[in-house]
Amino acid sequence: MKQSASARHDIDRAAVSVTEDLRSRATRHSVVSGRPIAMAAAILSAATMVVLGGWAFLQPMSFSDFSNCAPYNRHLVHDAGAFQIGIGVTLLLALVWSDAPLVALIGFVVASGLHTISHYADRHLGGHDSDVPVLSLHPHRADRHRFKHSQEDNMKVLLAGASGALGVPIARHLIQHGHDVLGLTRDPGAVTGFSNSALPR
Amino acid sequence: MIADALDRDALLRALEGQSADAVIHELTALRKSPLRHSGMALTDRLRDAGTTNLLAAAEQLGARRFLTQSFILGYGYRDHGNQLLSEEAPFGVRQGDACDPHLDAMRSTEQHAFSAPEGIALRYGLLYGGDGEQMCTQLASRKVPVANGGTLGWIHHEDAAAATVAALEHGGGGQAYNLVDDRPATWAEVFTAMARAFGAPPPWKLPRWLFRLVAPYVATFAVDTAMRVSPAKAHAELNWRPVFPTYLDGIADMVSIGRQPAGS
Repeated sequence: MKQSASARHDIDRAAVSVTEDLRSRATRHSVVSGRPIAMAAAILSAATMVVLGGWAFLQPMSFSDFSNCAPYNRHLVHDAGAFQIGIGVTLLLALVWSDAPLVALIGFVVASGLHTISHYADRHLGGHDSDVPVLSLHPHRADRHRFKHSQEDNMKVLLAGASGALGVPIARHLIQHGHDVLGLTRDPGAVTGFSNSALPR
Repeated sequence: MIADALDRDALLRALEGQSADAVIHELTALRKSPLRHSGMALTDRLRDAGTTNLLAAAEQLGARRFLTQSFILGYGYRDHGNQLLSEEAPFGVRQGDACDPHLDAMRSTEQHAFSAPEGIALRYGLLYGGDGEQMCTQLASRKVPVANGGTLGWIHHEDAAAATVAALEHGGGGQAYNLVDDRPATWAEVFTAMARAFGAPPPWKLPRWLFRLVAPYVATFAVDTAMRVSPAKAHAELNWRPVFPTYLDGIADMVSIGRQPAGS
């Protein structure tokens, strides 16, 4: 009890000093002001990042359709959105505060906070039970894992019936998606036809 | 790679030393569309024994995912009324007629596929669009008859191929997916529209009894089946939508490809 009371006191003191620090720094002029072109560029870039990032984060399927990158991977789009919002927020803060480490730190907290939410929201798609607690501490241990049911990695596929009416377009779509195709057919005469028509049309 | 999937030993020998992550079973013997039930015998064997042998091949290759070709007619060659058929509906149930071997074969390929670590069944609608030139010739010589019949589920070859790859990448193990476009249509509607689009004379319209006599196998679905099949599960889980939502869109594309200069 005694220990935790003193720890709380420490935290309160730290919070007070951070708040005072913020207040004093926020009143100072940012280094960007007085340079209108840099200012405009920063605002424009920040708006782009926040709008596109917010879209990706909140409506991943719609964003993925717009950017036209198949195959769709909900979690990947969520993560990209999280970090874009982080970049946008960092740019905006840089207009207001001149304290580089503080700006960078807040941008980082926003990005990795959203990243953690993304892992929580997509936990049914895969990942590890430890992701949410671990990510909130060490964001860089992030995305080494693969999410089930959205196998972005290329696969090696044995396609039985590769010379058939449906096998030929399937082979073409597999190749377009970056998979390796091992075609199997009973009909030797069909093999040349297959390799020609398997080319993207 | 050339091997007969019905010869298990030869198949496994041909694949020796190879590895794969997934196997897709699209083997049929339908190069010439069969008119009689006997014409389906080899396709039925490829769906039954062929699937067992390809599963053994998948195990040898180290492939965990196994996708197999199935068909919406597995819900039964009959009038399903207004029922919207989802993947939960009974599948491959015998109905006491000449269709039983086909129903057995579809049930068999699905059940075998589901025994794989990640087995998926692709219940395609009636396929059209991949054989434009051949179709055009047949329609020009009025070799595709029509008759009054019920609505069926259709899918363009290109959409079926895209859906197959979507199922490979996103499909859940142990799941079946209905792969049909957004507009059920009758046999007569599709081939009449196709003939018109190709500038061919309208198909011969036969009385039902004559159609059954000329093409008893085709009549089981073109005349005697009516079904509405829902692709909602494939839309939701595979993030797939048909590029050709109706047979009219698919036919328009067939015609535009036919008009392109050869070789393009």
